[in-house]
Amino acid sequence: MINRSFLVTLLIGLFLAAIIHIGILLFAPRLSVSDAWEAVALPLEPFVAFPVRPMRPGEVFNDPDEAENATITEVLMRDLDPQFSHTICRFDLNSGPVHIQTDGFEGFWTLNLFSVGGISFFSTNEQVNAGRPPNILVTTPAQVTSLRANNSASLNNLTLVETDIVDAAVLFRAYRQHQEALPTTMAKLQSVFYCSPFQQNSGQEQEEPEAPELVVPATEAITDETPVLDPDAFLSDEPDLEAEPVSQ
Amino acid sequence: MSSLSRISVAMGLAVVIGLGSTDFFLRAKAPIGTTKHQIWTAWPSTGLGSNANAENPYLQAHTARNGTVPLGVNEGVLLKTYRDASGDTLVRNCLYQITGDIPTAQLWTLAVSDSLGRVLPNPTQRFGIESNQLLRAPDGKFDIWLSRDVQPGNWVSLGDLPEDPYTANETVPVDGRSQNQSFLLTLRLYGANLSSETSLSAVAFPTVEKVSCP
Repeated sequence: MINRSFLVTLLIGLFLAAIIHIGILLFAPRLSVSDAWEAVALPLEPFVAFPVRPMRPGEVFNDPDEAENATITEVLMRDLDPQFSHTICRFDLNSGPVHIQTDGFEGFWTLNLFSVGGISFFSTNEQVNAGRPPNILVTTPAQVTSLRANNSASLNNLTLVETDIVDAAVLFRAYRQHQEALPTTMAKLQSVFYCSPFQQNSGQEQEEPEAPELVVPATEAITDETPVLDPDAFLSDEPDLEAEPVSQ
Repeated sequence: MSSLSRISVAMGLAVVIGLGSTDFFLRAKAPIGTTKHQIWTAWPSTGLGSNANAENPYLQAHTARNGTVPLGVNEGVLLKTYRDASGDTLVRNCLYQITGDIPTAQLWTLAVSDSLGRVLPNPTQRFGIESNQLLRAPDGKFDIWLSRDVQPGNWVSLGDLPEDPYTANETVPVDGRSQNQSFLLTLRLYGANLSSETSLSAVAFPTVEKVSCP
């Protein structure tokens, strides 16, 4: 009898152990404080691109305090390809769709949208994108419906990503073609990568399709295909992404 | 056995086995969901829109615990090895030769790091080699040499600098783990059409042979 009751105790113990095991596994992505979302993306200011670099010996991974203090310089992240430069940008869709684009970037790239737990919900690369730089609009289904109803022309040339995930981040991985020093390419990448609230055309400009690919330095932007453009828009070396790239 | 002691034994077992087994799986170098291809362990991309394996709770929990953002379905495939062809742990003071094939990809990189994925500071400021940089023989074959000392041809440093220019202005504490002489090889195949286990099993991967150790 002792053996039998001991066996029952064992079985109950194992059963509870299995519940604990499964419970932790299922909740780990939500409860973890050391995942890429909680420790790296969340402390960052939204809609600002931060350079991310792989770690060196002795450095601590995913210290939220470190990420918070890394406002200007760099964010540390685990498991990054040292042959690539990376940049990360947190965004939320509460105030509208988010536009992800580069300005004058060339070379091989891949891009990953992720959220809680570091779990990806969209990814793409240069090849999938037909050799073009990324030009992505992340929206909720409701937002895209209203965009289409009001101004479908503004969605031309954009890769639409519809998601119910409101808080997310984008990790942009760019191949370091010329083997420049990492700090140089990181700084460069940060200055050409944008994730910002989508600027919608309004009023009379509705008919004018927005062409975000044109938001590049003047010397490269003027081609035969370029539609009628305001020359003033190209006077500055630093294109202002807040401004409409095409104005009439 | 009183019912109180039975309850305590059951609860104790549940906590020890439950927590212990979860921890074991989350620390595993090749968690459930990864697949083995010769010496390489392939990590499927986790997340929505990928193959069934990607929804694997072990992989998702492993990702969350380790603070990574794995390559997404459309980014590429990641393979790791901690061992050479004869099954020995890769050690930084030996000389290794990598030969064979690397699956077709838009771009691949082979990176050297400590076992936690941290780059190994070295004078070349390069932490691996990639498809664009690879020198090949006229017949298309290649050798990649891994060692601390400079080698002709395709060479990746396993070295350490007494003074790392990268960290020249910082005090870098050296913890016990980075003193460890083992290293990790990571092969990333970008834009490779290899998202399923079947397609991974059908291709050949490079071999890593130990040539000499001091």
